[in-house]
Amino acid sequence: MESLDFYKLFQGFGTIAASSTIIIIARFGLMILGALLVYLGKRGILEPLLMIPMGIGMAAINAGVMFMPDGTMGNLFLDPMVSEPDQLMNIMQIDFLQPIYVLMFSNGLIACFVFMGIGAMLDVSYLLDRPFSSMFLAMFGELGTFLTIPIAIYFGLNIKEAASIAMVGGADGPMVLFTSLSLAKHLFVPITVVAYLYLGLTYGGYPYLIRLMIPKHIRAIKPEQPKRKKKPINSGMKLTFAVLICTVLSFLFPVASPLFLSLFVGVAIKESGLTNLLNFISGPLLYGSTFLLGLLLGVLCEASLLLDPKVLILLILGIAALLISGIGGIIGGYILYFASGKKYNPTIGIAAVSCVPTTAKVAQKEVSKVNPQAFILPQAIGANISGVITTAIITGIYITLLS
Amino acid sequence: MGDVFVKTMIMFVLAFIISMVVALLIYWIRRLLTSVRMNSFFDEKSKMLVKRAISIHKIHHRQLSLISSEIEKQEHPELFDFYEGVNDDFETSEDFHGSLKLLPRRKRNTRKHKNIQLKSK
Repeated sequence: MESLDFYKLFQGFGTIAASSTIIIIARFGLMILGALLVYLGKRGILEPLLMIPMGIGMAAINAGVMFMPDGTMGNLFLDPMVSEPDQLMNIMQIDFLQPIYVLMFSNGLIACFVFMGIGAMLDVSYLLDRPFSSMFLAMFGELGTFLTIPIAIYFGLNIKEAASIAMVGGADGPMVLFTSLSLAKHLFVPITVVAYLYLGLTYGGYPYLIRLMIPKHIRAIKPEQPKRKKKPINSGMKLTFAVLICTVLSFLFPVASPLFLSLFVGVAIKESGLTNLLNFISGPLLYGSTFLLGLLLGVLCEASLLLDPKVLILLILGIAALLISGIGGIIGGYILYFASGKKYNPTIGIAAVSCVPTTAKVAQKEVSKVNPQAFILPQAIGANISGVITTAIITGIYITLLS
Repeated sequence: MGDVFVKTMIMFVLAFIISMVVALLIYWIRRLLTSVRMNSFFDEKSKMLVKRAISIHKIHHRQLSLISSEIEKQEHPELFDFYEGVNDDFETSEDFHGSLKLLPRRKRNTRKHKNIQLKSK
């Protein structure tokens, strides 16, 4: 019997021993962070649907590093950097998450599936009722998407990279994914990870921003009932609206048309009353895609991959973008508050940051805490959907003008 | 840096304009979808109502067309005599039996009127 090599038998120890100090610290740091994300998800501080699979994936990928047959260090999860077709075919037969990454994640399919599920849960009548105020708020909720670009240029990124990271301000995962794939493919993995990590944080961070910027008595404002009762909108009208707006927006912005199609096909299925399809899209498809998205994001957080010097800058810029967008949304809310003679609740502004439906839920939750009688969810959902549309418009503008 | 800021602002203004155009589009689509004609397309009850309104309008229009301007002139000469032409201060109004009466001209809600006015054959 040959001598037993401890480091070959327990390759976790072996790879730690063979790594540099920075990598060792990063690996352990990410394992602890993964566990922390699971805990925060379970406590409901961060979005649990995304954070629990992401956290456990993050911990596992950094723990499960091994020596590959060629002597290099790697894992059996996936390799996001492979792009050569032959190499890709080989690795798809070895790494168990590689097929999902190649066929669903890197082409944006998983994001489109999530969008279909979101569309199947949306009620577009809120947007139809207040298109101008919703779109106005949505533009203010995109402030971070614009103002982060000069900041990113200052930090040394070029304009394409700057636009890609600035899209985090739109708080719309699929759009970030799409923009970074089109404008800065080399930063696709870190930008996507940063984006989704922060989208989870909006759930925990935005309530503090609301409390900081909006005093209790303003937060407690009950939305005013319209003086003239509007004609009711039935499902046939909503279906027609979905078809018309999807066609027009796709015509205007072909670059974002996969996302428009995904969103409005969900709406169309819901409004056409196809119960079986609706149950599939809003159930297994949405939750399955969210689970796989979370898991893939977790396993993409490998220490060696995230130790790119640009990642730290991306982390700072990502949080700056979301913060500026949140502040912008509330400023937009304040403009409507003053314009309406102090009758509009500016908290609705935070829902213009289009993290559907998280920000709308956050707005309603914060208002309910100070005034349980105030029901702002319809307006907030309207602003939320408008946020999705404006983010898609901005994606179209960036890709068209900058690529 | 200044160039980038200007470029960013241009993109913001462009996005703002497009968003407002989209909002206008959504507003028009809503108006179109909730108009009487379109509403009848989606709702069976409204469909019946519109059909009934159209048939009533047709009968009404047929009755009106029977009254020629000559008869009108004979029955209400004051309409035409006042300024040796048509008197704009008055208008004819029809009651339920189809007979015409002369009344002072009043302002009508033309928008509302337009919505239910349909082309006759």
